[in-house]
Amino acid sequence: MRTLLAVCPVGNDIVYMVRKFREGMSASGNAPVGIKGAVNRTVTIGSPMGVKLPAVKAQMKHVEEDYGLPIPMDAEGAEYMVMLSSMEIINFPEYLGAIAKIMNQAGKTWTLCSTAFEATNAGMQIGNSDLAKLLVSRIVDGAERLKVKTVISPECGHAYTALRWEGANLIGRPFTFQVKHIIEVLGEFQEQGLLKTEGFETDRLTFHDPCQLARRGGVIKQQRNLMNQVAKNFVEMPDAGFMNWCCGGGGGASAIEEGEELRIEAFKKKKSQLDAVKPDRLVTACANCRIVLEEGLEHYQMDIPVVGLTEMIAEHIPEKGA
Amino acid sequence: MNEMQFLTWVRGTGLNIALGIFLLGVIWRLIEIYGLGRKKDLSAPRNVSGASGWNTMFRRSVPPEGMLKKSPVSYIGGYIFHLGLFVVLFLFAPHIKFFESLLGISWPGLPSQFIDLVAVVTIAAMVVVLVDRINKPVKRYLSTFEDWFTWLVTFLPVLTGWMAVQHLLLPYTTMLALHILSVEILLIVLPFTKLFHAFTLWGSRWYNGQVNGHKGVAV
Repeated sequence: MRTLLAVCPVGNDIVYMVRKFREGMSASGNAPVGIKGAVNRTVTIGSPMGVKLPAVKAQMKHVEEDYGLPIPMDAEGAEYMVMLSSMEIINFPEYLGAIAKIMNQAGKTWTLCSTAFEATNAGMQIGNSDLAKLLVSRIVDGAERLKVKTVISPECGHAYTALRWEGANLIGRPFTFQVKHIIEVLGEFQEQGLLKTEGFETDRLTFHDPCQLARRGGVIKQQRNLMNQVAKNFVEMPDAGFMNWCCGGGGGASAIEEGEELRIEAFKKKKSQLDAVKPDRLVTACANCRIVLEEGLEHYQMDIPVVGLTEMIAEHIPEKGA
Repeated sequence: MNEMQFLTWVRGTGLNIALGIFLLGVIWRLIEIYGLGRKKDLSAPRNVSGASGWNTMFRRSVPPEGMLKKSPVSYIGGYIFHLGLFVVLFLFAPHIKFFESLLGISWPGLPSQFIDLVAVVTIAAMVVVLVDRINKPVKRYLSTFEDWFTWLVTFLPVLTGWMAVQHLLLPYTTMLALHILSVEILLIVLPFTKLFHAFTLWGSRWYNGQVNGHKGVAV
């Protein structure tokens, strides 16, 4: 996928070809069962993994207790509206805690939205622009109701693309708010001196650039500056950044069982990149990459834990009053 | 039909048919592609210098960092045979005469010994890229009938043209007629296969550069 967009001399971009193909398959009723299910759950329940508002509220409560920081919901006029992906609500609750710590330190107002907490867009994954529009509209309505300045996409590649680049085109008008990936927001805080950390990670770390964030989203420098703020031993894989190799499978290929063989095969390239630098841990900024990377690492019996950059940053933010 | 009649036919009726299909085909495909149009991108742009359609049009003519090492045959072989085709097609004196009869305009050519050398190099480069396509598992896997077929219809005019000039294998008249026939096959095939990249190349490079430039990515 990556090489075509980056090197094709006749200017082919296979991503949009695959998208058109998906649109056709979806329109003719031939979408994979796994994705159909995810879309149904997103439309009817509100999230692809079937997460409902009470689950989010329960998570909020846990995080408030663990971190001793308030998690605002539906706070009108907040500067930032923070979106989550189901993956974070279920598998990586540390993300929400990390946001609370970071926002608290930066002195910024932020909120979750009860009618739009899910950032992922299953309509885009399945290739149906009507559904994609419906899902984006929920977020737009929420953001406009709460009059926020910026909506923050979580560490989820296609959620970012859906909202940042496709959202306005789906609803047919420009947004009245900005859309930023959490890594962009952290990068801004860092530049403005609002991100103060203490201590360093000392083990050997490398960073996997999610395709939607870097090559297809234009965010490449921020994650490196952030890594260097908290890591003493940050090494780059060959081809890192714009030319980085795939985690093994994006939102579509990762959502279906049929894609497993392909993901494992594609991961070989990632493996060779990792073998070149032999990191102790692998940092990234996309929940999908994280899951697919973990699958590949496990398959090839590589003992490299995968961590989210936002959480890693948050771990270095001094406790309140400390 | 004897060889003179064959030559007369390919120079007359055959050429007219081929040119007709070629011209209508090209116009049809261009209308088909550009008629689709594109809506204005409503998402907020991220402005980054060097990220635009014009940049990509030029940038793609140079191998991206590290790629020349990874794929030397594709880049070097590809460059040589494309330039070779251009030189042989447009700078060989008899070809210029042909264009003059067709379009009424003329330009200076290159000495025929030089063209001869270029033709040999072009033929060699095309064989090398073909062998590479057969040898490399990924390239072979990605190749379909169309890839082998378009290679052949591009290769035959160069080979027959060179053989005609060198008076090889067949009498000159027959070889020349075969050369013109192979060009006519190429003309007919070009608008409807991936050979059409001769026309879409710059537009699609620009489009890709523009779409990604909007996101602040210099592709």
